[in-house]
Amino acid sequence: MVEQVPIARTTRQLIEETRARQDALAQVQGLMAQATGTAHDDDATVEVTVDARGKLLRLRLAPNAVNRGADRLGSLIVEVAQSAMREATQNSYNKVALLLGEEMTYLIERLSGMPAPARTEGVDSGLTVEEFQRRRDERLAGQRRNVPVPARIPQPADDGWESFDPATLRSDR
Amino acid sequence: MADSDFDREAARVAERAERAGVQARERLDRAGRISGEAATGDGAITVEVGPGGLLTDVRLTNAALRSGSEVVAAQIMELSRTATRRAGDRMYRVLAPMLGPGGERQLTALGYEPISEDDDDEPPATGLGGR
Repeated sequence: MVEQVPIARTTRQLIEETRARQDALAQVQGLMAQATGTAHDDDATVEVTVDARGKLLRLRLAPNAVNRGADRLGSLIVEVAQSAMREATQNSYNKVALLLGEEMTYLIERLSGMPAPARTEGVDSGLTVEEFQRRRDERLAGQRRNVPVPARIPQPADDGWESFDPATLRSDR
Repeated sequence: MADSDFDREAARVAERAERAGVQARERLDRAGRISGEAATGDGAITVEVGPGGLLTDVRLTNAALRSGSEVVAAQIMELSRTATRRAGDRMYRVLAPMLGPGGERQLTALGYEPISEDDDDEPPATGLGGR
């Protein structure tokens, strides 16, 4: 909430405040440029680091990554990069919030059209790349050229609770 | 300066920013989806990125995978650098005419830079392997 306070500032004060805010804003770009995010798939065959704009900074493929096959590996790299970018976006807003405070950061999020992932409704931060991919495949079923919806390879039983998808519960909607 | 002058000036700045925003959106809409692409000489690996360099598509062939994970990763890194420069160049060319000299500096700061004619835009042919 913004509290309403009567304006009783001199022009000089206003100019100084504006200047201070400009200085802070000038640092935002630098902070955002420094932010990076890293993500990997469940099996850690693909690990990607990107900056807050999404630029690829590092890509590590485990020796067995090639066993996934050309199509699957290509789309997995893209999905992991997108997860990494969500991390980087969150990281950059965390840095900006330290500098400018929460309110100003929220304003920047709205201006940039890129809400911080932690604030995005419906994004479960625990969503694994595999799960993200499965949901995307479902969405794109039939739309994608020459890629039939990949049959979901059953995961070994040691998947445990992390892979449990609450969306399968009827009450999740 | 009276408060009303300050308000008027603030309103003028906001209006200018709004106009520039609308113009930029229109230009970007006309230009369509901006992306950059790069591929190995033999077409075994193709990489597509968005304006900031985020991977949007990686197409591999089985032939590419035969060179092993490490080589594939290095090739994708190299191709993504080239694709990012191409996407930045397109972004610059769409937005720079509307922004003028000050705006050009902003675009460069954002990583959207034009590729000059004599720049070596092609990814190096050697070391990218594959056949």
